[in-house]
Amino acid sequence: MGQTIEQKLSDIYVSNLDIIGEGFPAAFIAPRSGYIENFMLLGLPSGRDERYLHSDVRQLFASEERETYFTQLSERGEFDPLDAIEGRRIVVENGFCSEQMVRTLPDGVIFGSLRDAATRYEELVLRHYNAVADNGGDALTALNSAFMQDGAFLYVPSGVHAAEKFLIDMRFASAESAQLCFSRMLVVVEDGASVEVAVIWRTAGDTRFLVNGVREAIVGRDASLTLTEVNRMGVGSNLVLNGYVRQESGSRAETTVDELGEGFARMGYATDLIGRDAESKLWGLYLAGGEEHASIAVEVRHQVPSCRSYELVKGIASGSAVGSFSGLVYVAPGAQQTDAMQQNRNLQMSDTARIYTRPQLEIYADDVKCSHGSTIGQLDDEAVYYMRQRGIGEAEARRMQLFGFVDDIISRCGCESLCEYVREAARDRLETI
Amino acid sequence: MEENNKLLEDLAGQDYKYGFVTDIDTDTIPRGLNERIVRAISEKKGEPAWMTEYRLRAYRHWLTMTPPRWAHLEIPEIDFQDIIYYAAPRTDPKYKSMDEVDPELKATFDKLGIPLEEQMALAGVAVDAVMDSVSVKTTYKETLADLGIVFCSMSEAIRDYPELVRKYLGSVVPYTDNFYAALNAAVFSDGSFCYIPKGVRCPMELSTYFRINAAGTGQFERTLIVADEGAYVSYLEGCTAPRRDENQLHAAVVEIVVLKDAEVKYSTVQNWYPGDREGRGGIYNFVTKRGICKGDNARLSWTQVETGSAITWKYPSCILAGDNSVGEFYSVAMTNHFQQADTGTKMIHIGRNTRSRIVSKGISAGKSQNSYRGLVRIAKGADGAKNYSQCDSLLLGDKCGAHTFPYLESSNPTAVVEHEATTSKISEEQLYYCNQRGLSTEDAVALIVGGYAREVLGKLPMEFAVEAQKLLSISLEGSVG
Repeated sequence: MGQTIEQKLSDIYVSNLDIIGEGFPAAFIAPRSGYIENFMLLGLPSGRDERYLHSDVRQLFASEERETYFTQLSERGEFDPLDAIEGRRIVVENGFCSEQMVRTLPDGVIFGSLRDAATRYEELVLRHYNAVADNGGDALTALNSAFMQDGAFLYVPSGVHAAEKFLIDMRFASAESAQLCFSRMLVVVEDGASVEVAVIWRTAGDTRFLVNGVREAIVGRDASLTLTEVNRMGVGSNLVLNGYVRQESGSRAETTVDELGEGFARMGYATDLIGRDAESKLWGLYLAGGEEHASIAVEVRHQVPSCRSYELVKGIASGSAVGSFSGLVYVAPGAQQTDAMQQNRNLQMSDTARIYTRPQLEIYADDVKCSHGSTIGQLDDEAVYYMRQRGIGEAEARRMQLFGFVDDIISRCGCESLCEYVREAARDRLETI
Repeated sequence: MEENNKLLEDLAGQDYKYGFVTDIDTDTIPRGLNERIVRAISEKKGEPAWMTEYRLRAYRHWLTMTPPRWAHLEIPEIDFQDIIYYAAPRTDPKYKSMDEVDPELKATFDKLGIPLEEQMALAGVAVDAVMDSVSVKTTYKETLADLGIVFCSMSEAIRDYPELVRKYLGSVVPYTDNFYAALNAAVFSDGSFCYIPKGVRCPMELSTYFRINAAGTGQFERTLIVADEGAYVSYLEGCTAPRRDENQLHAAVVEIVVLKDAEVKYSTVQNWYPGDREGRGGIYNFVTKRGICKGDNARLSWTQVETGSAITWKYPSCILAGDNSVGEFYSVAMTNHFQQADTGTKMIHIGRNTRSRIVSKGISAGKSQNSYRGLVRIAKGADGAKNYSQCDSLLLGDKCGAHTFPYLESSNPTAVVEHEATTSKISEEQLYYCNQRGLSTEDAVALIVGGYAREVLGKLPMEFAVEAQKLLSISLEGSVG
């Protein structure tokens, strides 16, 4: 018996301790050994783990030897500058923020490198960092917390309605053939504040990336967070993301996920509603063709009464792709007047594609309105026929119908320039899958 | 509201109506499980060598397995060595007429409201009554025999129809399937066997009443139903069990084979002892039920009304192998007090144009936990497969839980799979509306729940529908508020 993958990762961690912790205050270094222990204890999830069902993350880590990123290199690949998308941006390359200094904007918003923020605003970052990430229950989150070297930090002070939109450009490019990267984000929206953020994941070149991403977002009382996440990672690159949101009373969080990656993607979104009258919305889309794997996992936990949550996830699987949705709505004892709705719609386009869907309800309170629905089906032949009767070619009719199906989600992201960008990307993807 | 609470308390006081113990000498073997015990069971039943071998293979496989832990259930540790694996009524189990039946046993059936004579005369139901583990009385056998229908205890079947049993036993639920199926295969005491020959439409509802009686005795029923080409049968299974403070394990296996153009309807009303109001005692009901639609155009329908047992772990399933075959699952699961249920179905679509329909209605009250867990899998070759699932939960009270865990998997681009679920409670408006019209809150709840479950109850044969409705309102009592 050789070394387990977990053991290997743990060894890499131990032998690079000083590099990993570089630039962080002691308070950010001390807990890391605990995280790596948790990771060892939990072990990498296989596709049989309930939480990662059908998404064999263990296999991803085992499938090839990857270099692990430890140093900030400037190996900038050829990237579209995304000029058309409005908003203040930072580039996070291979997990490192390209601007080393975190900035404080005129309205008090802090945006930039997480590592720099940890030094300059140590107390503020410490208060929120790892406050909502499930380091005790999720192996990949614990692994990320152990290895984390940098990432993005966004802080919106109390009562501030951020004047501009923010864009986090999560880029990956390297000269290595295969690379393991850790990527981290912390978003704090204080009481009564509001902000719009977009995160775009993308790669350049032929490097096969395996990205372990964790994002925490804390939305204060009556605050609002609008988040759009687009995965455009290239062929052979894999993203395993765990996003955590904690919402206080009266807060709103709206997330739009467009999973257009060309590799393996498992995008997890866990939301805890801990204050009354909080509202969470999530709109998701995945397009998967070829050998791709697209998985969107949503978990909403209603901890207190009178919260609302809505999710709609749509997906198209073609080629030999796997499309997977898992959604859990949890209603804690006493969380009365909960209103939760969850919908998942899938189109299966080929003989060899597979679709798995698991909408789940776990309810411990009686005065609730909870429903979910899930479908797997095909394009409506009658609609195609209708269009053909009106002189539209069959291929075009199908394309239009598919586009209508996906645009329903794309158009929900807050900002028009971003929608346009995603629409273009989706059109490209629809052509290829 | 206060009035409702009082009503709730009054009704929650309702004791288990069928809690009594019959004193009949039982012929038991020592506690515990090992190869000797397995051989002893087989020997006591006078089984042929191949059957003993089958049991031993199952037992050896069981040793390598662990109890399933994935269900949303809290199952106390079960000491499998502290169970008596065989108990048969001491009296010789063969009777020519009712007069010969042990009077006390007869009285037990009477208390249960199963008057055999009446059923024989009126309902036209042939009853294969299983008291603990050995078949005590089989009625209407002759009528059935004329049509070539075999309806007898599993022990008799092993003796009289060995080739049929060998062909089908374990063909749908192999002993390797799961922990409890392996255990059952090793130690099953008795059960029913039913074979409907080619083209025969069984003229009456076949029914078996299972009872758990001897304290500390596990009940391991084994049922095998085979409907040959073009045959039809409607099979009813109902159970009530005497109250006991000690938990009793019940691990049954039901296998159904439906050949070309045949149809089987399997209905269950399950009202085993659920434990007392504090959650003490009660039956552990860990059952593997599965049927295969082997031939084209075969149909299999499961209908269940689950109101009893402390813990239920049960997933009646359909393997739709034949083209155009149809699987159905209709379920009402009601839990109260500290009951836990994790129940649902699996629909495995393999043949072309296979269709399945799932209607599950969960009702949770008291401090109970009620989960629906279902799998719909469309295999690669299942062109044109269609599934529709509807899983509703009704919560009565704020201390209970209602959960839905559906798994939908499709590998075919022509399949249509739809799943819908809702969770709600009875609204104040609904109750107010009924109260205004002179209905008491209790009656109103019974009415609303009756309406909620009607889609499922309507699928039960007449005699059962009445019993089920009764059971539902008994179980419901004590949950209004």
